[in-house]
Amino acid sequence: MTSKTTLPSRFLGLFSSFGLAIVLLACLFLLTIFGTLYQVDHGLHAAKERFFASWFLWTEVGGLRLPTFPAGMTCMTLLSMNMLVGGLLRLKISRRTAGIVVVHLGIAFLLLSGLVKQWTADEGHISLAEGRVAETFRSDHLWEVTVFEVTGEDSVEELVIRHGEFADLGRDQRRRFTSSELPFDLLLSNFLPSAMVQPAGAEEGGVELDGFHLMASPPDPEPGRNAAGLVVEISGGGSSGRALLWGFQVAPWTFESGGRTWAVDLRHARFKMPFQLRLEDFQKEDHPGMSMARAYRSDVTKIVGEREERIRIQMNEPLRSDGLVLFQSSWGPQDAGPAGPCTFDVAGSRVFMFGHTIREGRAVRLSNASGDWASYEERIPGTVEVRSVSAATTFYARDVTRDGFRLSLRVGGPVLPILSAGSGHILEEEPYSVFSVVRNVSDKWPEYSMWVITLGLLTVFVRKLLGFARTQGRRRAVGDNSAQGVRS
Amino acid sequence: MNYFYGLIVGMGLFLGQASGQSESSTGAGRAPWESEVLELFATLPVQDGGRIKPMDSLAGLRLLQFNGKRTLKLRDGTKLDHRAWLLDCFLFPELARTYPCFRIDNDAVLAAVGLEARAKADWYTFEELSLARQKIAAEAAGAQAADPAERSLVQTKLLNLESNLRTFEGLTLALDFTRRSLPTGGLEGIWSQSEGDLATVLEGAPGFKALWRGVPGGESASSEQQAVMRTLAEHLAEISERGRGGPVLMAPHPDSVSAERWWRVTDLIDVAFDSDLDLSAEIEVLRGLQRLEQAKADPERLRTELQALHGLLVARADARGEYRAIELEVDLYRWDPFTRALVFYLLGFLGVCFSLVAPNKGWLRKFTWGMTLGSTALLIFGIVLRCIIRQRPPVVSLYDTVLFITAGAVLMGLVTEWLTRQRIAIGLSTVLGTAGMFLAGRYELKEVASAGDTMASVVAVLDTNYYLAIHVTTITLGYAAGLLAGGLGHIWILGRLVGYRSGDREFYSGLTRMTYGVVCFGLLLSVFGTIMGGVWANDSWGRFWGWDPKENGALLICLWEIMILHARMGGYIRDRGLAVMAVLGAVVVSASWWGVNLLGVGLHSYGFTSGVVMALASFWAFEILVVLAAGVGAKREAARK
Repeated sequence: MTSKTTLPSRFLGLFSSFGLAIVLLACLFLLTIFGTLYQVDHGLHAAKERFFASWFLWTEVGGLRLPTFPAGMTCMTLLSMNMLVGGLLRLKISRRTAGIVVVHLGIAFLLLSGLVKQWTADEGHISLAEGRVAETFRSDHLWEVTVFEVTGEDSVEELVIRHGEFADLGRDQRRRFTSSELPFDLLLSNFLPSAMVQPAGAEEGGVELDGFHLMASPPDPEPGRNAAGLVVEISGGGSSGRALLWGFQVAPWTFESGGRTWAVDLRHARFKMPFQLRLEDFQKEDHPGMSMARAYRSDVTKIVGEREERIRIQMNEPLRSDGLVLFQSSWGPQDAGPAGPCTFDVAGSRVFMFGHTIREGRAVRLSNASGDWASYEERIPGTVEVRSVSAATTFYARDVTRDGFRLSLRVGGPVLPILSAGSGHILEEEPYSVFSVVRNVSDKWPEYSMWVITLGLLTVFVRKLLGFARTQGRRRAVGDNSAQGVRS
Repeated sequence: MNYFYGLIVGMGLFLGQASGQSESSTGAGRAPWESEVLELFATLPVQDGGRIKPMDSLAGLRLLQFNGKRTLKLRDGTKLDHRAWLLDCFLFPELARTYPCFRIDNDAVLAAVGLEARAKADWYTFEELSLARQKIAAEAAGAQAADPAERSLVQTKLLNLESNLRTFEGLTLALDFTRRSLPTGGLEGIWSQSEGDLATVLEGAPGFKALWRGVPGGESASSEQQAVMRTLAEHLAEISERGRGGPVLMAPHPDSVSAERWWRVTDLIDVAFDSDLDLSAEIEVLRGLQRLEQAKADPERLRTELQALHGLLVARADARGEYRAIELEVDLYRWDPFTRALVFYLLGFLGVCFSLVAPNKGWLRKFTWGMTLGSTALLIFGIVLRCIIRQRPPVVSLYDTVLFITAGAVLMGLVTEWLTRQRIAIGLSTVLGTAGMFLAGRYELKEVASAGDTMASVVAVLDTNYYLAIHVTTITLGYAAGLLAGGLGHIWILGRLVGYRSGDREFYSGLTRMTYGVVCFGLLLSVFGTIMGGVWANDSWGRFWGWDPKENGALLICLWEIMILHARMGGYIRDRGLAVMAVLGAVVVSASWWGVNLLGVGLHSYGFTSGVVMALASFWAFEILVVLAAGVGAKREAARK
């Protein structure tokens, strides 16, 4: 008697096979090895994007971008299907296989939680000095383009174009964005996730506009240190224009349209929180006689309307609230010193600055009075360039010495000229706390899956162990009997 | 039965043998230290490396760091134990500077600073090295500025040498202030004598400040007085500077206003002249230390003064709850359970070897079991003591992982042996035990050289006993199972290659069953441990999984073991394939355990290490040879058929 194998059954056979499982596991194994090694030179974020969060590993051959190996998403998706078909659908459920079914269910749930996070989660951070309030958190690697009318008022209504809507725009690719609230259309093109701006003529390549080049730069392993860039055009509404937008740009691009002044800015994506957070007190405890932190914690107040709630956030004990999880991730200043974190009084407005400014390579943080933060790195010893997140203001610190430095302000336009706004002196130290923030609906799912998988594995293992012990006992008994037989 | 009595008596003698270590004379410069003085000194509490530890530990760790051993052999052949050495550093620094306590195992290091090497590796005194002190500091500064990834071996060793020399200077200058006489003449209103010790000067600090500032309506300092005050301030600044690098010796009085922290002489001088805090409780300890210096030539008086100081410091530390484990820690190093465990594992291994020659000797089997159980008990005893001392779960540092994985692998081996009774798993247990304890001894040196202690302070993220107890222990037990499975794979492959019990199919199928069972157990532990690590990361770093190198290492073990099971279930591998994959599994475990720490990237920075590349590469090369041997064996067997 012969049985016919139909196409669906062959397909099912392939998808449920041990062979496919082993091949996919081997691929994932290799990806994990190479993805780990890749981090050494390129950083975690780049490795994650290239090896694990994409469908294929891409290689450029003769100008063509070709998929050369299945990446993490492909392997994990196929593995999930293999597991579901082979480990759940085709496996006959019995007492013997119950544990295996439970394990596969748990792993499927674990992979699902990863997928949900990958597709839906928002991640970022908040840096807060004591007494300051935050209502948004800022992404480290996602960008957004905002459009708003310059009215001179404190608050403006912004139209936001999210990272995903323009991140795929390669060289000479453009996309039109329209809104009934705008008298013009916006065209974005030439997005570069890591870019630099140089005066035209310094180097070849990139996009040239108004005497400047927007060029790709090697990405820094720390995503927060990269500045994206793109080209923006407006058309319609009786106006037209084209400009370069850069993540570290000093001010938004402004133009006239419909008799009103508009601004377009490229900045790190911000996510609004369902509550406000005020840092009341930050404490760092060192090990006795050392500068190594034993513990650090922040006492914060969660503010929802009129209601205020005091909460402590510390290492390993995050705040979980309203779908957000806030973790105590860092603090500053790392090593406060004479030229360290300080408050400046510049041209009558208080500016808060953190981090040492006189050492090469030291990150500098600066905020305006509303508590927005930005960071930049010292590129030239003794000269620190700092950009605030505030839409219209950029501060530059120059002539840095231990006692202070000159602080300059520039409003819009090209790199020159710089308007002097006064000099800064160290007035006081001010500690700040850094929280990582995640909005993830699958936050607790991995923990649930862990218990399910462990239960399944324990069931399988105990069952096998007991069987093994019984078999060994029988074998020994047979061995003893035969030995006695030989003796008798 | 008699055999077991003999065994217990023998072990007891061995255990007791080293507990009565005595201090030897240096042969020059001073009388031998009395054993009572050494005992009192050993249990003095001291703050070092972020924790309060016994002086015994400080002495042992520092000597281990410089010398590679806890005892010092002088050039005249006499031996000095670590406590005597540290006492000499404190009280006879000139003598201590002539001790050859710096091991330099690469003559290129000396050549780089213009010193002549006596041999490729030798011991040098501080005096000898101080001839090139400035050059060493300059070269070390250059090495420090270089990219760590591009530092040469000589540069790395120069950095270590510079660090060791600075630490030694800190030790020899710790009681430098007790040998100083400070000029106080011309300030009769404050001090009656023309010279005074530091304690006396600090007691007069309020008067000094008042005179210096000038009391409103009162007398201000004359120009002569101002000159004396400036000279005194310079002396104090020098004492303060010289006392900056040493251990922190002064426990605060629990009731004093300055009770928050332990005191260095540097802090004391700063606070005495910069604040109005009452420091009389701290000055009391200072006086005790000064009296120690004055009594050092008179053994009887020294004992009395040390007893008094010991009583004072112990009472203070005890009142702060800091003396809780001091004596236990002294005992831990005195009993030295890990070295003893190594010896017993070796004896157990010899027992296994002899039982291969004489398999029917029942007493030999008992001897092997006794040695293996005894050594494992010692190992676990040592681990438990470390847990009690630190009030932490067993695995906190990389050194802990070596101890814990060894204990875990041996215990799993013994359970497997108990189930199978084939004398395979117990043999392997003795090999793993010996290798593990040898590795622990070697890595202890490295950890002490880099962190200064094997019970060093931990970073804030590790300040959670819940996750340390569950995640870290489970994941390291997973490593242990992976290594045990790899060991069983070795026996299968090498046994078949050399034709050991070649006709005994049951022997090899038994080995396969064991390997499979251990892989299953390893997978259970690794999967739970890995996911638990993710749960911890979710609470501390804000994400369950971040593809961090250490996480990836754990994932690699899980993936590999899942592949083994699926390949076995799918019929893609048989007995030999299982053995080969188990051996490669040991490679994956070693990569996860040590390899990813060498990359120096990721959030698990507290686990970073260096200097194990050669050892790891050698292990991997050996494992590849074993896998190749499996191929040769398969080919040979196929040809025979």
